[in-house]
Amino acid sequence: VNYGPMVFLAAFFAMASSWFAFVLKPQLQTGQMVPTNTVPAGLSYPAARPGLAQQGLQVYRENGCYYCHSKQVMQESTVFEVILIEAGTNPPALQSAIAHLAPKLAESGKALEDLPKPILASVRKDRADRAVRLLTASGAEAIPWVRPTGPDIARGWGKRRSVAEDFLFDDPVMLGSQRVGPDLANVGVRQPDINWHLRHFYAPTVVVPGSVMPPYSYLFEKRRVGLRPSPNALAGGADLGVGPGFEVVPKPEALALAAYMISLRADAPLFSAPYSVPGTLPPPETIAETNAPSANGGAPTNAPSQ
Amino acid sequence: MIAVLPGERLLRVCLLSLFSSAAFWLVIGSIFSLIASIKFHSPEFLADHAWLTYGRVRAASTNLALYGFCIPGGLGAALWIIARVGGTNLVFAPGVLGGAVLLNVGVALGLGGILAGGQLTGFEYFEMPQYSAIFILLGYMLAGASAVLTLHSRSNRELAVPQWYLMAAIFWFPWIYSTAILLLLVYPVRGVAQSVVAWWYAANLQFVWITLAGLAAVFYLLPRTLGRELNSRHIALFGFWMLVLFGSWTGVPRSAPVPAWMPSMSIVATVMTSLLYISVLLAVWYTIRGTSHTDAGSERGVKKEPSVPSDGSADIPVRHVGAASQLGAQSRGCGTRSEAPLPTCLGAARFAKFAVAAFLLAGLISILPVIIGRGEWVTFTWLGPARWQFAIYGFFAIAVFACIYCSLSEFAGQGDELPRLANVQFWLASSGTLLIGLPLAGAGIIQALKLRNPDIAFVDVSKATLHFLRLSTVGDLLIVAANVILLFSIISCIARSRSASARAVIADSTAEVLR
Repeated sequence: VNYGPMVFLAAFFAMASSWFAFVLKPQLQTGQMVPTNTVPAGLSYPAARPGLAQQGLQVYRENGCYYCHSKQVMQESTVFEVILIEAGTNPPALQSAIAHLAPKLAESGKALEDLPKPILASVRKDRADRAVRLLTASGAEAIPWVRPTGPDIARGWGKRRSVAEDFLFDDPVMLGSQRVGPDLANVGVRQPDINWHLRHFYAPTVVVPGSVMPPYSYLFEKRRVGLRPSPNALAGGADLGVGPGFEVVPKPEALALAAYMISLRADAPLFSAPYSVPGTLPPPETIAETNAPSANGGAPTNAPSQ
Repeated sequence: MIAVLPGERLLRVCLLSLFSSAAFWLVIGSIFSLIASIKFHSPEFLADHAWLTYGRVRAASTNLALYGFCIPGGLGAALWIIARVGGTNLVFAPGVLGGAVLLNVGVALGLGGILAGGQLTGFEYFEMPQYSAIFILLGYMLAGASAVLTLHSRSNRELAVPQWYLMAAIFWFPWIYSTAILLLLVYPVRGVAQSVVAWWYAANLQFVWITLAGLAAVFYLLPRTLGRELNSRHIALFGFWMLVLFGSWTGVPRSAPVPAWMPSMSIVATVMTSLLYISVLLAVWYTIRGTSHTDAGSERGVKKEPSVPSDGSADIPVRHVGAASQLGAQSRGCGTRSEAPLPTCLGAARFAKFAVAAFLLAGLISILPVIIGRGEWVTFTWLGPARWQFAIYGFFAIAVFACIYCSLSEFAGQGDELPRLANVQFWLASSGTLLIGLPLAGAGIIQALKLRNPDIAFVDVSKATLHFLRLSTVGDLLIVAANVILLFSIISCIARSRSASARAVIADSTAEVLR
């Protein structure tokens, strides 16, 4: 029997099925994605990066930074807290509700002090919903508080998991495959200082002792100080091993890369990756009778970064 | 000694051009890999120049390994196996030569683009810039056309197991590569769809294509060196189905910020590929043990010719009748030359066995973490590079090395030094693979466990892996040495065969004159 055509068909069928599943379908599902809205602020997300940061994305690509840095925050699960905001006008009913939900807190007798106060911590959504209903029924005001968990989030690498929207305007999308260095999905939140980044590119081990990142000194120009020092020169040259009479001036590539680092902020709460942002809840003492802005600026801070 | 037919001479020229360019790029690539490895524990090493920065050196090393070595080396091994099993001469040989030239031009351009221009595409294992990728695709298709035509002209119509694998491999690469070029470089898709296509491409190249071509070599070499039939053909074909069906669905990592069905599909497919590994293990085990509960020859209804001394007898009639028809007539079961045991002193069986062991180890690294904890805990760790080392070098490259040595001994005779070189090369390559793969796997596990604990500072996590990385540099050094020996073997074979063929030409022409 001549199996030649059969092998060809077999390979063709297998290839075609995987092509439909992992090329065509993803393109249909995510290739036409449009910006979404943050929840609950309703602002458009994501916004395109500033021009310099977009150039920095290309510097990131040209130097293969994606080999050592991932841009994917992983999230294990989501837990809920129940927070009591206002006691309302029926303290006995509320006390009994709290006694039902959190007996220890009720026994301590301080359940209604220092509001807002978490009544339940690290529970699943159904239990949090029940508790909120119970507390609300007693005339109090309570809200569920969404908290993503996982090692990455505990490390402070992100507030929530990375989602497809975070990379909507990137070209190319470089998600990374290894963590030789830390995850960069939110490096702009952790380290918004452009000078820190520039110094770090030039001499990583000086800025972060024990770092295994190679120095990117070729992104800088080391030169003799002219009539007056360059305004762009890196501060603290002596620490960076720059001799007296010399200064280190970042090249445009370094400035672009640093701008890109600062633009890496994927911390907007979205419908597909929700979390509660401190600040959406006005502190109780500022629930003012007037319309004046409250002490902390009043504005909800879940505005999308960038 | 196999007679040097005109067709045989053509095959020799074609294969040596593919193999020598593959070995050349492998040496260059492994030097870059050594530099990259040193940079891990000494980050300041060669850090002052943009073209030697870690990202570019690493990209150069992986892309040279894939497009510089695996593609031409795999094509050469495929042509050799197809010609031998089919008992036929090479068809459309200019395609192979032209393809080799185009591949070399493409790889050289790509290397220059990556190092000097920083024109990496940004997609791992697909970093060759667009202008060089076109050359690679065309070169592959030219040489692949020759492989398909040679397969078509086989004298034995029934396909043997290696031919199944190779036929699928030949068609697989142009499809995935052209898809990746079109959707990532020419008309890039938007957002994370790019990453999905890139992951799909990388998995299909590094797992499906590499495994198809590598297993074809193993399934051809093992029976031929042991002088037995593959046992059994059905298990090997089951493995083929598992590979093309499930292997092509792997690739999207657990952590991917894409709709959840994609990583889930990939995880299911990864677990299903365990069937492939099991079937390969069984086929190789039964073949080595030699218990024949199915006699492949009789099963196919073909009477095996009892003990035809294929070496000597092939010589005389071939001069009068066409080579292909004669070889076909000689044994319809499977090509003559596939029946002839290969010289054992080259240790081709040892190469093949190590390749299978590395293949299984790579499979273990990719499947075990998925079964234990859904694979989330090992993403982003050194286990990925460890798997790469076992799959690309330990499995594929070492299987291709065995094909290269066997074809060299057919072309130019073994001489005294070829078995010695093959022996030294085997030990260097295999110990180098283990010295890279095992420490990286250890580093990966430690890194994974420490990353799980947010109380351990990230700098301490990287510090904990440094000793393993230092050890792997030793392995990289051994692999550079092994690759240099391979290149030397090929070059010395070219030199010897040129002097031998010159003598043959003189003998032929004088014979004409004298008669």
